[in-house]
Amino acid sequence: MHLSWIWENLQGYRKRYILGFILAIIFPLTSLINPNFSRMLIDRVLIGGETELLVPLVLTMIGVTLGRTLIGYAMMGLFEVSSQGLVYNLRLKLYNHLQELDMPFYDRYRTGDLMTTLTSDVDMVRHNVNYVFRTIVSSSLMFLAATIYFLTINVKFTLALVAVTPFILIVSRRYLKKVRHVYVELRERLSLLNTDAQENIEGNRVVKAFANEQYEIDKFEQKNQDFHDQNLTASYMWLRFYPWIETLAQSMTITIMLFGGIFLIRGELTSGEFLAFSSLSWAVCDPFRQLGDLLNNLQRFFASAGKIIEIQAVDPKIVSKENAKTSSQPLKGEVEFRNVSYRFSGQPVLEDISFHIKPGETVAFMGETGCGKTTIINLLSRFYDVNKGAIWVDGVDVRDWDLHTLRSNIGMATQDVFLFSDTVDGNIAYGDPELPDEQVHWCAKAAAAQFIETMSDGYDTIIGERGVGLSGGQKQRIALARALALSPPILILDDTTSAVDMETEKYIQEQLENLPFPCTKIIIAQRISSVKKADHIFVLKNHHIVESGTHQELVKKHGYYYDIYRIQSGIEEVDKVG
Amino acid sequence: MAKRNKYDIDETLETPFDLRHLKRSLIYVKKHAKKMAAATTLSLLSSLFSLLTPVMAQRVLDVSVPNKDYRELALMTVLSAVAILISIWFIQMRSKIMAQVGQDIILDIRSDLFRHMQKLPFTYYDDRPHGKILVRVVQYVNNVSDTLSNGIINILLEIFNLIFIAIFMFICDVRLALVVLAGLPILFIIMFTIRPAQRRAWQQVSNKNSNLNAYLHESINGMRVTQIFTREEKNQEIYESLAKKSRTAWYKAAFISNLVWFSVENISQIVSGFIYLTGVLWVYPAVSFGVLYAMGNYTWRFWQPINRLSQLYNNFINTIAYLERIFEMMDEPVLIDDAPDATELPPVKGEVTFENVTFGYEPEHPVLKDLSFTVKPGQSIALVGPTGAGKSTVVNLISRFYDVNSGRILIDGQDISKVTLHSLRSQMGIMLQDSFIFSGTIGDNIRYGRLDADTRSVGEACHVVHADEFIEEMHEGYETEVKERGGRLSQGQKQLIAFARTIISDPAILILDEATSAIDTKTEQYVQEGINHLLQGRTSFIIAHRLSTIKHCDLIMYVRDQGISECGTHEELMEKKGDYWRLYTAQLQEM
Repeated sequence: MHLSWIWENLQGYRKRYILGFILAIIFPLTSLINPNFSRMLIDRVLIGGETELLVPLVLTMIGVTLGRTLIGYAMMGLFEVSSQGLVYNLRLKLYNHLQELDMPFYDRYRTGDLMTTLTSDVDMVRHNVNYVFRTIVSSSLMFLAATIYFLTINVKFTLALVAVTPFILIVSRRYLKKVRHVYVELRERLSLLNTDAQENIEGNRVVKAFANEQYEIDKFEQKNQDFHDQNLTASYMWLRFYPWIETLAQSMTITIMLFGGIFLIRGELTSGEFLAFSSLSWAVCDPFRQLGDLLNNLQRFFASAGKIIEIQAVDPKIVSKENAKTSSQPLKGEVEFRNVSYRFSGQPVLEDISFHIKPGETVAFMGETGCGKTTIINLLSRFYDVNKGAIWVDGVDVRDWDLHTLRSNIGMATQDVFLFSDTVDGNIAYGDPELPDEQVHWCAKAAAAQFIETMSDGYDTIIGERGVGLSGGQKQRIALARALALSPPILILDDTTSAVDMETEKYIQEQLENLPFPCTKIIIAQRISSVKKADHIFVLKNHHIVESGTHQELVKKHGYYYDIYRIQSGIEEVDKVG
Repeated sequence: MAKRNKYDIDETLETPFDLRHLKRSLIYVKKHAKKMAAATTLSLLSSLFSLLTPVMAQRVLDVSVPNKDYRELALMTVLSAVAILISIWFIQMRSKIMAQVGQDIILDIRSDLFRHMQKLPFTYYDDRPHGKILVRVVQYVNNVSDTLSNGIINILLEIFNLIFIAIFMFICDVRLALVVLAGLPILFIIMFTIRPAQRRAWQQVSNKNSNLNAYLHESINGMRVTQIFTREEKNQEIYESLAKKSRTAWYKAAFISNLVWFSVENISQIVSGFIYLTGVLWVYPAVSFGVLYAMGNYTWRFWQPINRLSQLYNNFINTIAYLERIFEMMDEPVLIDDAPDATELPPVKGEVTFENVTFGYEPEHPVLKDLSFTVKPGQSIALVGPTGAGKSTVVNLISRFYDVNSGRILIDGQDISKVTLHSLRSQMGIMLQDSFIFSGTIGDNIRYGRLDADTRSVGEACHVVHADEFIEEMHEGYETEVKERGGRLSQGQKQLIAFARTIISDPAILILDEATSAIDTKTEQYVQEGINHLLQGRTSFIIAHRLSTIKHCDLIMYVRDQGISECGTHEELMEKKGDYWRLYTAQLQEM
């Protein structure tokens, strides 16, 4: 299973990998050439006195070594190239897969887990493909070749020599079985260490705000210690088996001495034969002495590959159907919810929601924190799928739209602003990297983000991840500009102006009313001022739409909306609040 | 300010190659000097015992077999077996010791690095992709473990080995020994020639790898944005080009490094050729065949450890590329730290004074200029004004997230730069715009404000900010697991949790920076009712846009143009008909 997985991912490098293996088999054999020449040198030049042979022999040996090292160099190169190639393929595949995976997946996997997989796990696979597999193959071949050669010399002695092999294999198997979970656990602890460090980095402001540095240190030390301990557990586990395997391997030396001695005395073996055995005994002995390293690496390989395969096997639930509808033209922007219900882990979030938005209309959603406003837009853009009912965009069920078509027609500025560590320009043009500068500047102006021009490098200023160098209102305005840059037929503003002051908000609203492209706007907001001009306002409560209408209609209704209106406009003096 | 870094910018490092980094890493190694000495001794003993076997094999061949002496044969076999067992036992002990040393070293390095990280200012985190910080703490530190533990010991052992053989060579024949050694300068010249390229290549590997991981990290965190903007293809392209660069960098480094092995093998062959040439053609009659034969053998034995040393050398060059990154981070200046004579800030009453404070994130662009004001204990202050005017900056300075460029900030008359950071910040409740939620239970997240808080106080804090209702509605209530950044919680719910976390810390000074921006008006009203009695007797700074929140503060400060343009109560400012009045009436008109 793992082998075919490797083979599959070696695509484009298979020939080089095979060639590498061929050289890996040839290479050890080439080391048998020069000893012949040096024997000749000793026998014929030093003893035989044929001095004229000296220079040619020395030159030949140098030539052979040059050839041999060239082969070795080529072999190492081929393995580096093909193992890096595999890593390259694997990385691209995983990255692509991650981009296809849906929110339920990201709700389940931590960033630290995924980082571990794409860094350490991938590297562990590389190391095995590069070094471990080749060593296993060449060692086994060496062992086999030596054994066969030995058999041609003396069967009985050979059998005595390799008699320990089954025992070594039995011990190895037991070890592999026992150590497996140790390495799985080690990998998990590495992942936890990664997660802990990553959250600490990400939350560095909160850590400082609460002066919780010591707590963070203690927490991290614990993970650090756990990882340390597990590494030692793995080492100690090996060291418990090590004497057994090593003793069995080295027992071959003893066998040679004891049986060699006996056979020699009995005359069942000539001294020449004995010399052949003892001088090549390393070929049968060494493979087993490397065993520990190889077994441990293999087991780590299985732990890592297992994790990669696990992630690869997660199928995104939210994908385009076959024959999904595509459209190269911008959509009209008609949105309809028909009896939509959505539950999250069994708990209702939305129930029986229906509404209809005509192209070009502006609608707004209000409601208490956690009432499901954001879920509505998550369902519309298919970050999650409805449990019941259906959502229609331009008369087509969103599940029948090609995902790319659907989402590229939606421009969204979300509450939780994530900006990329890129230039301001790169962030605004995120959805369309080819966007001309004038367009970027226009979007920034429409989003009241002129402050960009006063920054040190203007639009070329690099802003940090999550835009941490900017104030909340500034981040929101860049996010808005980013959404506008798509000229989207459907624009979603999820509490986009909550951190923007009133005057600026008013300016933004004016800009949004006069967009140079047809646009359906869906606004989620807490402020009356943000929603009052909408064609339709919906109030959500207890998973249902409880009020709907225009600002005037809702104010007359004297319901939830009216309450909010009174509080915010100060009609009802908020004395009781203070 | 250093230039911000992004995923496709290499972090250049301008230090020339020296063994400084290696030397510095010895601080971590030295602690284990005794253990390492013991391990070295064990290794030597083990080699000694393993040398006994060939000696006994010799004896068997030369004496026992010709004599057909089975007893001696058996004896020799047993002795060899014992020698082997002892040598295995020594190796096992050495390995145990060294496994521990290796792990201890990286435990210490990582721990020091992390401790230092906790002291680094916001700007450090703001200026570079977080993925670049992460790889250093986890991956890079792991990478140096083996070199710093076993690597050092093996180098010592190989050097012993080398000296040992060199001595034998010189005893055998000085002239020929010199020929063997003559190969060394050639090797050194080659190694020195390729070293700059080799070092650059490994630096490139670490650079390109860091870029790749930074991009990956950011991609994972921003996946939702990517998907909604359907940027997948473009990102795949970028990732592909970064992966390509990382691959190319690796090829280059590997190809250069393998040259070392290639050179060693060839030089050793040439040297052994020269031994025969000089031996036969130059000094032959003077040296015996036996000497020549032995020298040929020694040459091989002498260059064997050199080969292994060159491998170790490659590892060291590689390790240095990681070490210098780790140490670079450890050397990152701690901009905001306790003053050497810092004192504990006594329990705070809550008077806050700004004295001619000037501050800019980049000193040449001041955000606040010559700002002075005093807040009495227990007062609540609202900071209003246009976005980006510096409201958050004011509160960031009070909590000493940044140090003022000039002027002073006093709390209860004490300069905040002269008290310990911990005593200052632990008495403040700071609620930031970014309500970061840690993975763990909701209860854990709230307890983050006060680590020893019991369940009851957690419940109470949640009740105050009206967060108890939605939490208790969840399947497992306070035990509900949330993922980093809150996963399925709504933004408003996250803010409520962050609010509860601030409340539970029972601060003397409360700072609320857009604390309720994502919370609906009704809930906000409950929250206000809840914290109202809590605010009594505590100084509070509130940044908000909703006037309903601002109106009833004791003091409203309008922040504009690097300073405070107006300051007073709602009524006073309304009478003044200035900035605040304009803001207020504009908002009312909007209604």
